[in-house]
Amino acid sequence: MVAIQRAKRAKKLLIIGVLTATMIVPSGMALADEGEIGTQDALGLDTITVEDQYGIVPASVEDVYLRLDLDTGNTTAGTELGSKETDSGVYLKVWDASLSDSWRVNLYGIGWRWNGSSWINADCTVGIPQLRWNGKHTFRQNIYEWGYSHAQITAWRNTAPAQILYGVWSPDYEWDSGVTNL
Amino acid sequence: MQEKYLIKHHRAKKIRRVLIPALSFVAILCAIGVGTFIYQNMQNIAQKEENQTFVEENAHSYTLGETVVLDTDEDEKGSQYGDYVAGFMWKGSLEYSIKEAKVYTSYQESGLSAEKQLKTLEGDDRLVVLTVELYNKDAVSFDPDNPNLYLISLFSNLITTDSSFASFGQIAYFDGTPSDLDSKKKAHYFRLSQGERKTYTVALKAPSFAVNEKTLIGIGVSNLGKYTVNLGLPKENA
Repeated sequence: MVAIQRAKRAKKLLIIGVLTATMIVPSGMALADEGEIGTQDALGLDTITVEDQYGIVPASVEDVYLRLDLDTGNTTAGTELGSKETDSGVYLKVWDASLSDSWRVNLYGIGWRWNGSSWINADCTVGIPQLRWNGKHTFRQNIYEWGYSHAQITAWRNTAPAQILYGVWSPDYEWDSGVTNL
Repeated sequence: MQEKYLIKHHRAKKIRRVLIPALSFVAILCAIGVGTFIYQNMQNIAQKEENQTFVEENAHSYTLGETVVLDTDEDEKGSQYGDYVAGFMWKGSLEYSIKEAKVYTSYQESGLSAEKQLKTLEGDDRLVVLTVELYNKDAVSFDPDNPNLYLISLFSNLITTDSSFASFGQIAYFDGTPSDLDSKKKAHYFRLSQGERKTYTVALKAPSFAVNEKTLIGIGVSNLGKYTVNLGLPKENA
């Protein structure tokens, strides 16, 4: 009888143990990862939130510098926000970078607008624009058409060596020779 | 009865034989999970503290007239500390100083040429006019087609100490645009070869609340406030 009771107790313990393990291990991992996720910079400041405070962000329809820090592996990088004033393409000119079919970079046109109390954003990219070589590019998005006031380019790729893409970009684009439509 | 008991006893024994290793395995898994969790969190905390120390030791604040050395190798050291990188767009080193900063309420008052006006002032906008000096010690732009071409916007983020480095200014005037470039579309570009030193006038349009004794100029692509120059403006400009 005692043995049966022990076995029952052990069974219970086993179930609790398994449940605990399934809960603790993944949640622990998730929490441990939290420090790496998030958009805060080295100062622990979120620039977008700070800009929200006044409802003002840097505005530019002219070239500004582009610096997209693509770390190894599955990483996303983004530009600062820029004022979107027309329904034209987003423009970027990438300087010297190792881009190819196997090291292509997916681009996204993110729209931002202030709704009176907070900033909201949406991926307004049309199609799947991908960078495969240096030079001047433009890609379509519906940032202006969908009523977003500011543009941001984000870039992502799932595998490649760590690399920083340098160049210039502009939220709006006027026709220029040698520009590729992505 | 005896037989039934024996069967149950045998079954219990069997379960125990499986159960003990299974429980041990679960316990080990739990221990590994908790251990990893604690270890990663401790590492995160240590890294954050290290990053914070680096930020405190490498936030460069200057005043009017002081020379700011903008060296890419030096700046990029911050990439290991939470990406605390201002972001320069050249290899080598440029020197920058703001010689003078003045605030006006209109272009007319500032005396700047109306032809080069890039933005219209609205409402209570102010015009912050800077006289800046740039010296190219040994820098080469990352732009492979234009190694001497730079953008003045990198040197003129108008920020305030209580805005946590959000930029409030837009370039409204710049007198350094080379004559062979489109004066509107390429208005923010300037050329500076190695060994060359030039003085420019750049004006920034900014709302009046951002123009006061706390106004700084931030340098770099990112708005981290790693290199800042306090303009020493008077308290009241409203």
